[in-house]
Amino acid sequence: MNNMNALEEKSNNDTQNNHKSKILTDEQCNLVQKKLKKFMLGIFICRDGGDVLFSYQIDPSLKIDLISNFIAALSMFGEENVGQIKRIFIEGLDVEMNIISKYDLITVFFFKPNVVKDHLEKEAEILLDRFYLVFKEQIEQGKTNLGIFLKFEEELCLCVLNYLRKLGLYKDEI
Amino acid sequence: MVTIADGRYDLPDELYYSKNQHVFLNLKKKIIGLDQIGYAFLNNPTEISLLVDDEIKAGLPFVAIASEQGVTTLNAPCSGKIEKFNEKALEDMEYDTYANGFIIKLKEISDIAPTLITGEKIESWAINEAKTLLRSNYSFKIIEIGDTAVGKTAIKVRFTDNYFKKDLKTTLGVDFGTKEIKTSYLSTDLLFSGTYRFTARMNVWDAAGQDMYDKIRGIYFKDAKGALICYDINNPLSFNHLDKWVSDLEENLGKVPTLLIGNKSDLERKVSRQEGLNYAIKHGFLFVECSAKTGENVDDMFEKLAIEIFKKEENIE
Repeated sequence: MNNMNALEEKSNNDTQNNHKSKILTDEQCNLVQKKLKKFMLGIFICRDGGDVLFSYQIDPSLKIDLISNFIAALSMFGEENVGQIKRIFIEGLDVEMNIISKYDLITVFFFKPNVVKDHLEKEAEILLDRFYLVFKEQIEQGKTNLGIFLKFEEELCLCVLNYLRKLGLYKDEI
Repeated sequence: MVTIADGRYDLPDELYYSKNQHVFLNLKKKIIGLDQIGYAFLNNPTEISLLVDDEIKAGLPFVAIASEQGVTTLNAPCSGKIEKFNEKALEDMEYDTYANGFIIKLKEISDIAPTLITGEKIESWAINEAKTLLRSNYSFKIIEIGDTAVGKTAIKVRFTDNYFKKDLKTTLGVDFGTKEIKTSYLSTDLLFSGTYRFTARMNVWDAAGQDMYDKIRGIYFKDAKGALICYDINNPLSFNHLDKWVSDLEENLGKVPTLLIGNKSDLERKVSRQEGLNYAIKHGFLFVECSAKTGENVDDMFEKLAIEIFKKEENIE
């Protein structure tokens, strides 16, 4: 009986710790969210046909669905007429966009103007690689149930944390 | 007891649940099985096989389940020695996954996986899982085609922004509009009988109808899940050209849920409703007459199309 109580207590403790990310600590999650809010307006990943599969929107005024359709159309037109667009960088607006296309997917990062973007292109590609790796089957099946892709938020946080490490904005405790 | 999804799933709150696997653990009865949401996720399971001899270890695979979706392995929620494995679990599981359809009864439990949840923690997790299961949030790209000046852009604007703009300019290449709709579908499917409520983000791609865009129009069909083919009931020529648009659609997308739309129902009719309906039936399309000017039937027809796409996406009926 004592053994059973101990097991239940262990499970309760584990349960309480389980609502947060299994990989990231609370401190890391908070840091990522804080940094994202400071520098970014949003991120989304869409099919190259335009349908958004995953988005992390910080600025609610961004019309992500319209922008994704526009970028997809631009990408399609480019592919048909002048060659596949692998990367687009738009500067000089109230929002700056970094767009990367790979695996029939497009990922778009929205930044506040004049933010330093060291290593960013590489990190964006890593994020897209990761998304494809995790959801390859669903992507290839053309699934449009966005619930499937929700769990990518944790992977996004990890990618951002790695980016912060490279920029020297986060150091792991030894 | 935690009851979710309009009573469709019950999760006894004295049990422990593996968050990722939907395996439940009854500590008092020492039973491991599949919870009701997990059973629904599997989509018609056909076979369960035990992967271990007489002992399971927390976090390691212990059972393989074959279903329409392929074979899934489940990881054990705890460690312990097996007393009994119910080989006919599937026969009873549909009716009771917690008592009759258990997979394994253990002699003793020695360790619990750290990811298990119970009690008040179950509800928010289960609601989230059920949302995914119940396919509640979709994004559908819709391609809209038809002769120039039949009112494609007006239909799109009426749907997305709910107004009618006279003298719209000719669309160049492609135009977009997006709107989220909430709708429901009453299914009689055995496993999921009941009402599916889902949200669909309808991304409408309004393709230019002029002949000069014939060569590039096809590229914009990519990934579209449904189509609107429009004609003007006041313009018989636009009706006579439907074969061209159907051929364009099939060439670029194959068979997708398609709605044939007779627009401008507020004007004098020169194409009968029966002609439109016959054409739609012949090609297996849905059919609606609408008016972008008055808004008549516009929202309803998008809802109809969303339901058809949803059914195709989820292989329902």
